[in-house]
Amino acid sequence: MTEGTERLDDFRIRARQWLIDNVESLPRRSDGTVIVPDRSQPSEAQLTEARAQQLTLHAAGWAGITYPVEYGGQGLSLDHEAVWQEESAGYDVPTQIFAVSQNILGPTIVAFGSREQKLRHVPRILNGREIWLQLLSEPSGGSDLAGLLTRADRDGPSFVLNGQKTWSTGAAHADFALCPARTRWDVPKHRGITMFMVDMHSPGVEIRAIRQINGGAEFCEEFLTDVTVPADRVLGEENEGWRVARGMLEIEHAWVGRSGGGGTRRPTGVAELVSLAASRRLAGDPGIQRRVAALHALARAHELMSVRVSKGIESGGLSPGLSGILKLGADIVWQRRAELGLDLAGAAALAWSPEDQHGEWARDYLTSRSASIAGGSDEIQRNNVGEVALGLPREPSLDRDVPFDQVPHN
Amino acid sequence: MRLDLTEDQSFFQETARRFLEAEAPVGSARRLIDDLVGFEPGVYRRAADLGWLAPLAPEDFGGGSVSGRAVADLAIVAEETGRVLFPGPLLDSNLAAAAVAHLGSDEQKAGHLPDLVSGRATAALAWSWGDDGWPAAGTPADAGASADPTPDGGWRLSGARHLVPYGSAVDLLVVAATLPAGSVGLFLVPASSAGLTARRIDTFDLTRPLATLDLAAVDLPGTSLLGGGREDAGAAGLERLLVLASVLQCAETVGAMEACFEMTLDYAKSRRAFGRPIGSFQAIKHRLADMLLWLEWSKAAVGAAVDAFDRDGAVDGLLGAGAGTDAAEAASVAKSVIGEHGPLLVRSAVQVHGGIGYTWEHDVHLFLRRVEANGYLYGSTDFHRSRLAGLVGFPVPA
Repeated sequence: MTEGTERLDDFRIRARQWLIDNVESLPRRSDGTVIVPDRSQPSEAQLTEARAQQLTLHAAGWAGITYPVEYGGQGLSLDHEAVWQEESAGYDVPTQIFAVSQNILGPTIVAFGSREQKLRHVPRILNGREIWLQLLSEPSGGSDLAGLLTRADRDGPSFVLNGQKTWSTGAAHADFALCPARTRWDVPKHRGITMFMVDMHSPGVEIRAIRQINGGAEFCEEFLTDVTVPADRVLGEENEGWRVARGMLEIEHAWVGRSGGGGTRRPTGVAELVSLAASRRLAGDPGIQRRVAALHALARAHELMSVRVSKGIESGGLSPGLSGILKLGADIVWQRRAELGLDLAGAAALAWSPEDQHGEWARDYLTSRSASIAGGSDEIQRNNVGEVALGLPREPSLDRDVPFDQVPHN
Repeated sequence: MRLDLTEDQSFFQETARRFLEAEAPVGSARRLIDDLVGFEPGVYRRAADLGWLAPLAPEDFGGGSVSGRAVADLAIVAEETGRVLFPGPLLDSNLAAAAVAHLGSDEQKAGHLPDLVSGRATAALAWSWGDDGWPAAGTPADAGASADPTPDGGWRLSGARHLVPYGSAVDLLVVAATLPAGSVGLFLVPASSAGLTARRIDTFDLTRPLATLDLAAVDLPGTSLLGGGREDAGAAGLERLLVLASVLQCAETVGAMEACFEMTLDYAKSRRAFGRPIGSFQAIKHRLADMLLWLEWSKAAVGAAVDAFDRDGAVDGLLGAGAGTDAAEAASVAKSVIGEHGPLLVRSAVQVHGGIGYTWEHDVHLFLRRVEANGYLYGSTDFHRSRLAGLVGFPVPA
C-alpha cells in the first residue's frame, strides 16, 4: 500500500458511519434478506432523485473511488471499492442507474481521452450529471463488432453519423454514448473505425425500446440520421477506434467479473437460496443442501479469483485477455444460481401474486439468460481468452485482411 | 504465475521447482509405480534439506517456516510437487510432524521431530476413512481399531487401518484407535513393532501407494500415546489435522491441474489437423478457455484456504477448541470447488490429447488418477458440501 492511502479498516468504519448518518436503509423481508428496488427503467422522478443522491455521494467523497483525484475521483484501490460495495449493500444508494457510466464508460474515457475530454466529462459522470452508455451492436451483427456498418463522414469541423445500433441497455435516459462508426471503407475492417462521443440529445438520434424475455424494456435500438458530432468528440485517434473498443470491452469484462454483472444487486445470494429452500420445505434435503453449498463455494471462489486476476491485469503481471475469464465466470455463476433458484422455487415460480418473492426467482432466471450474451457472448469471451491470453491461433477468417468495401455482409 | 508471493516465498518456490525438474520429473514417479518402497529415499532427504518438512515443527527441534507462514510454505511445496506427482510421503510426514509438534510431550518431540524434519525418518497417519473420506459422524471415529491398557502401563492395539499412504514404506505410523472410554487416541507406532503388518494394495492412483495395516496385538509403551492423557485431544487433533490435510491436498491438486493444463495447451498448439493447429478450432480453444477458468477458480479457492489457516492460527491452535472455524469453512469451499473442477479439467486434458491421451505411456493419465482420487480423500466433495451447508445457514442433521 502506498503511503498516505487510507487503511481499509479505517475506510470501512468511515463508510459505515457515513451511510448510517446519511442514507436510508433498504427494506428487508422477514428472513432478513434485503429487498432491492428494480430501477432498470427509472421514471423521470426516480432519475431526478438518483442524480440528487449521486451529487451528495460525490460531494462526500464516495463516488469514483478508484478514479484519479484530478478527475473528481478518490484515487483509492479496488479493495477500497469492494469495501464500499459491501458496506453500502443494504442502503438505498443509486448504484444501478449509474453502473454502466461509472464502471465502463468513465474508465474508458480516463484511459483513452485527452486531458480536456477527461476534465469535461469525468467529474460529471461521477456526480451524476451525465449518464453514458455504449452503442455497439448493430442489427447486422453483434459478436463481429468490427464488422459494423454505421458510417461517419467528415463534414468540415464535424462528422456526420448515419446508421442503426441495437441491444443498448439504458439508452432511454442516457445523455452521452460511446459509439464506434466506420470512417474508412477501403481498408480492412479493424482499421477503419473511429470512436465517437455522441450527445444522445442531438437532433437525428431516435430511440425505441425493445421488450426483453423478462418483460422489461431497458433494451433499446437507436436510429442515427445525419447526427452531427464535432471532431473534438473523437475518443482516441481517428481510425483507431477498434483499439478503444477493445480496451473498453476489457474494462467491461473485468468489472462484470468483479461485480457479478450489472451492479444491480440481484436479491439472489446464498442467504436467499437458503430462505427459498426453507419456504419450499426443502431445507432438510441433503442433496439440495449440497447444491446450494456448491454454488456458495463457487461464487466465493469467483469473487476471490476476480480480485486476484483484476489486480494482476492492473499491475501488468497478467494478460488483459484474462478479463474474458472474469466475465465468463460471472456469467456461469449467475446462470447456475438462477437455474438453482428456479429449480428450488419449482411450481411456485410458475405463477405468483405481486407480494410473493417466488416471482423474483422466475424473473431472475429469465434475466440471467442475458448474462452469456450481453457485453460479448460467452463464445466471444472464450475466443478472446484462447487467442489473447493463451496465444492459440485464430480460426481462418475470410474478411480479416480484405478492404471492408469488398467484404460481403448482412 | 503467482502474484501473491513474498520475495522469500518466490525464492522458496523457484528453488522447489528447479529441484523437482532436476531430481524428480514426472518420469521418476512413473518409474517408481511398481517399486516396493514407492519413492527414492535419497531424493526425499534432499527435499528435506530444502526445508520441506520443517514448517510445522518448532525451531527447537530443527523446524521453522521460511516466511513465518507455515501453511503457505507447505502449500507452495504441495503445488510444486503436485506438478510432477512427486513420489514420497511428504504430506504424510508433515501431518505426522504436526501431530507430534502440537500434541506430543517434550520427550515425544525430541524422539521424533529431528528425524522427521531432516528426512531421515518418514511417517504417515493411519485412521479410519469413513465412506465419505472423513471420520464417520455418530460412530467412534476409529471404529476398526481399538487400544486397551496393559498391566505394565502400556497399550495394546488391535484391528486394522485402511488406505494408509505409503503405509508399507514409512518408519513411523500415527495410528488413531478407540480408547476404552470411547474417545480417540493417537498413537506413535514404529513400523518395526511386533504384530504390525502392512500390505500394499492395488491403487487407482498409481503414483501414491496405499497400504492396509493389520494390528495384531501390537504392544506399545505408555509413552506412545499423544495428547498428554487428555481424553478429547485425539479427536480434536485429528479433526484439525484432516482440515490441514485437505487444504494441502487441494494445493497439490491445483499443481497437478496446472501441469495438465500446460501440457494440454502445448499439445493444442503443436498438434495439427486439417492443415492447422487443433487449438485454432473453437471446439478445442473454448475447452481450453474453460480449463483456464476452472484452474483460476481453484487457485483462488486454495489461496483463500491457506490464508485462512495462517490467519486463524489454526496450526498453533491445533488443540484449542473453537479456533480454526474460518479455516475449516475455507477448506470446505476449496474442496467443493476443486473437487468439481479438478476432475473436469483433467478429463478435458485427456480428451484434447485424443488417442495418445488414452495410452499408458502418456503422463496425462497419471494426473487424471491423482486428481480424481484426491476428490475422495480428506473428505469427499459431497462431504465438504454438506459441511458447508451447515455453515451457510441450513439446519444441521442431528
